[in-house]
Amino acid sequence: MSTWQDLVTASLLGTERTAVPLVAVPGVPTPADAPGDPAAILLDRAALLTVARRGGRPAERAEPLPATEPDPAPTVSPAAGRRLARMLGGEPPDLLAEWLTAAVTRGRRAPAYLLPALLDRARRVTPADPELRLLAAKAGGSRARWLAGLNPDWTFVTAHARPGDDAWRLGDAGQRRGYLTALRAHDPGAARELIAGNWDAAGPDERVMFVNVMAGGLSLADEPLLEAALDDRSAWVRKMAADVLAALPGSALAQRMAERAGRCLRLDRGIRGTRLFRSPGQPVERWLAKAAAVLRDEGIPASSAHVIESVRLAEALAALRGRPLAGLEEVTEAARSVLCEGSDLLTALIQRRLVVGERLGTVPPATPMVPLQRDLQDQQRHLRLRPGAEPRDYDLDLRKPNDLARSRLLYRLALLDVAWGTPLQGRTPNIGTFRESWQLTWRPELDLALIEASMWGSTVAAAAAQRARSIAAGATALDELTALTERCLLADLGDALPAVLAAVRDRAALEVDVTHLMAALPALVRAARYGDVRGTDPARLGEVAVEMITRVCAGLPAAVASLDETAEQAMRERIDAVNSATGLLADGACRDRWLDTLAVLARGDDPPDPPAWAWAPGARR
Amino acid sequence: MSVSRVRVATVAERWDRVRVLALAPDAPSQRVAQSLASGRAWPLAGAAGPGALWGECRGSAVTPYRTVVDLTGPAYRCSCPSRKFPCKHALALLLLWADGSVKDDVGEPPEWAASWLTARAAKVGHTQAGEPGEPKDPKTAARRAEQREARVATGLAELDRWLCDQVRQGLAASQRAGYGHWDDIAARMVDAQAPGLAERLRALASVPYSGAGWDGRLLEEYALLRLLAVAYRRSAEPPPPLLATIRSRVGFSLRQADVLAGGQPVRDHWQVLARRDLKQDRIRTRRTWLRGRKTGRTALVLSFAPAGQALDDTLTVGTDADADLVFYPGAVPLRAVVLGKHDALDGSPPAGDTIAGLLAGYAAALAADPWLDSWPAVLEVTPARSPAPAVSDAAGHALPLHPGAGDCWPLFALSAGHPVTVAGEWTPHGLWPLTAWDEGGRVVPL
Repeated sequence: MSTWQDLVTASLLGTERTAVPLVAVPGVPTPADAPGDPAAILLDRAALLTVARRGGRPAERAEPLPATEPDPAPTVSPAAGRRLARMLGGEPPDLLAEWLTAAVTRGRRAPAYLLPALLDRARRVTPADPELRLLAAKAGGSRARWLAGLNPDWTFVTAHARPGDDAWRLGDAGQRRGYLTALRAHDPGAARELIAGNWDAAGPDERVMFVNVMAGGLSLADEPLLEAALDDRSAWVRKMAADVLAALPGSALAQRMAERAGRCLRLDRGIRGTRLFRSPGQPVERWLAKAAAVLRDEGIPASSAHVIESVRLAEALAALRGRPLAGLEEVTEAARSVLCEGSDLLTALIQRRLVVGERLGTVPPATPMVPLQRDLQDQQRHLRLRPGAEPRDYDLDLRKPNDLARSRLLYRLALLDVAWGTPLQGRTPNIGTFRESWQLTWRPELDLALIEASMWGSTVAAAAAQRARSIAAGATALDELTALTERCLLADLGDALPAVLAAVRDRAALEVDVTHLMAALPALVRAARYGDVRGTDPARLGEVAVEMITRVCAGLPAAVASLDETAEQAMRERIDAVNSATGLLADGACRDRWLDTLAVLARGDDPPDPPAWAWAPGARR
Repeated sequence: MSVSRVRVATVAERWDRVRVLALAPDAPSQRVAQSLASGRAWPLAGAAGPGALWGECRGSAVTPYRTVVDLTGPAYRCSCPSRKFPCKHALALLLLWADGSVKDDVGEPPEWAASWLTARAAKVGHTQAGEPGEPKDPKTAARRAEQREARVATGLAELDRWLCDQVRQGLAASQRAGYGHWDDIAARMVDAQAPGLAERLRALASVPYSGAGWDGRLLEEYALLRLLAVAYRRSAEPPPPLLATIRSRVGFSLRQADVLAGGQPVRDHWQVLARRDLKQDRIRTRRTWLRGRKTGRTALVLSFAPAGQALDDTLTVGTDADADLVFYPGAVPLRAVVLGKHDALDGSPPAGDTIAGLLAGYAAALAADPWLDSWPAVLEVTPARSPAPAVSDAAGHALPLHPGAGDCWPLFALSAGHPVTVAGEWTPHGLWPLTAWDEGGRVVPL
């Protein structure tokens, strides 16, 4: 329909650039010129037309295929059909040739729906083995020939012919093989002489085929020829000849192989396990046994033999040093040498678990504390986020206000260098954006970090904002500032944003490289336009985005000068991304500015002096 | 002299091997279970009460694996580390029982089996008591429902804006966009608790790379999504059946218990026409099409299973099921759930329709539910080529086959130029043949 195609073309180009065509939907009165967003109008018209086209679709015409003549042979029984299906599905044992032979000799044909799979399987067989193809063609009957007419892959079904004498002189490898096989079945001696006569002139592939043919109807008279084949130049021929000869009972090869195998076999005996008896009250043994248990919990093998040896070593060390009983030093050294096999890491693990222990003490609430610590404690109580020494995993659902507040607290603490939580990636396979995973571990060093951070402010929020401002003032690279902006947005530090943005402005005015800004822009604009799950104020995001676009426009003409090929490709993609991003923002002035910049680039002039709007007050020229 | 009283143990009726093997999640499990099902591997095994089996299997670990099976379920529990469900030990125990090698009169089950069985019985009793869907606290349920409606409304408004932005900027950009473009908006739909929309959006990611005509297909999908968003926004206007369809397409799913309680069961001899399995993320879906012999209604039964578990196998293609079905509410009631199956009978091939009849039926259904994109088709057709694979009927009409169905060689081989009865799904992109009946009346899944 021409009107549907017009709608599709208009949607490809975009309603920014073309007008929405008027379509005639059967049965629906067309409004003359509906007011409203052109994109929405186009989609509405497209919806009406889609349903109309789907419902009113006429049937097509097709050429029917010629019918086959009915096949007189009956199908095999359902059980046999199921077995064939399993074999074609790849289940061992692969007795396909036997099944087909049995079916053909009884005059049955294979079930029709399995024929395509059977013919595909027969096609994949190498051309030097046409028996399977012949059997498949026979078992398929007239249906197989009809199918072969439709699919060029299966022409072997119709092209096959019984080999006559001409096949030997004039035929290809497959036909020669067929002839030889038939001859071998009928007169093994004649076949052997034919092979012997043609042996020297044949290439390695053909010799392999000869050996295969000789495998049928094998007798001791074939032995001299096959023994000669054992010394052939081609490894494949030698291997095939050895296989065939090994199957021949009474052959010299079989006897030689039996002698060689007899020299290699012997019997093995097993060892019974030992038992350990322990008497309670022996500290050294108990400590080392606990250490072994710690190692086993971590999945490191520590057997009872290790423990026995380490006990002996500890006692020996104690005796050497003149001590009545092995002390902590001796026991640790014995554990290091025997249980941990010299590894410092494992020794540290044992030390931490057994010697140091892991339990966190608490301080009474009346202790004088820095105001920041007190604020943090209040927040922890309010948000039900207790500090613990063992790592704990939290999955926060950002749509809930409590979890959102927890996430913000953790990001603010991260800004203050109090790394209480680490974000986890991909803990649960999750398809929405509302889930955030954190692992929280409280270490005593964090208390010290908190005391250090208290110079920034007396509450967590104020301290984080002040710290953000100080980082912004001291930052040297633009990508640091862009990352800092993102962290401020995640931690919801609206007061710090103006200072950070001012720093971005100053920094960007001096730097030529705007690639980081361009890379960060699309995600920011998407969040501004469609909202994000954290509920960040879109106006604030919009401010940041507008600022970034301004910087990008100012710096772009210089950035695209003299790029090599890979950088050019990357820049092209970034320009595309920024282009669609600027289209999404509602700010018309921004879009115009961007289009002007692109026009300048397209004209290819030298980059002009930046216009007045690029200079913010206070920036150095 | 008194005759000793014969102790009648109330053991559940024995299953047969085929039914047990059908529970296996994959073929290797079947093989291993068959090799494990010998008395030597099970030093302890017993059966008790209405459908409980337990056993200890000697495995490669030091302690034997303990397996308990509850036949009224069926539910399994085994201490082996296998992730498959049911594991090979449970299957082997069931096979042993099916062969009659598990003794019924060993006495009470051991403590580890008894505790699990009683806990399960308590849980089942508890859910059945709360079955009709009475929430424990109607106020929290009402608040949660309100919250969800609000989130869905905001999410749909966002989707509307996104669709208009796509059309405004031009669909040509979507060819370069990459999967992340649709995954982002689908993730936002998941945030808004509208999973039906999220699925449709993720499925769109492959359309720009699907060959000629991708722009038309993409525009169709966008237009129908916008139709859905607008329809949800104006949800006071449509009649209740259409509203139910709209809500279910957005992603509000009805609990099976509510459907069973609220609908009228339709009893009939339901012919099982066709079956198709889909795999999405971590869930496998089985779509089974049924048609009633007396009422002539078609029904679609969906069953789900996480990856690694076996799908529900009670409806076999080609048989008839004498059952009660309850339909989900909707403008075109297709989806149904089986309330109770009375009997399974052998089926005869269904009567095939003409292509004109199928298209007319689809058009009528589309008038009630514009988002319908799969309609059951039972046709008497001959495969043809136009030159793409197609089917044509006696009146000379033809329908193309769905490109996803491949070359359909088994269908061609079965027909060999003669008409066959084919059952499948009709979609706007073509017919997807699923089952065919050969001249002997035997059913062949395609």
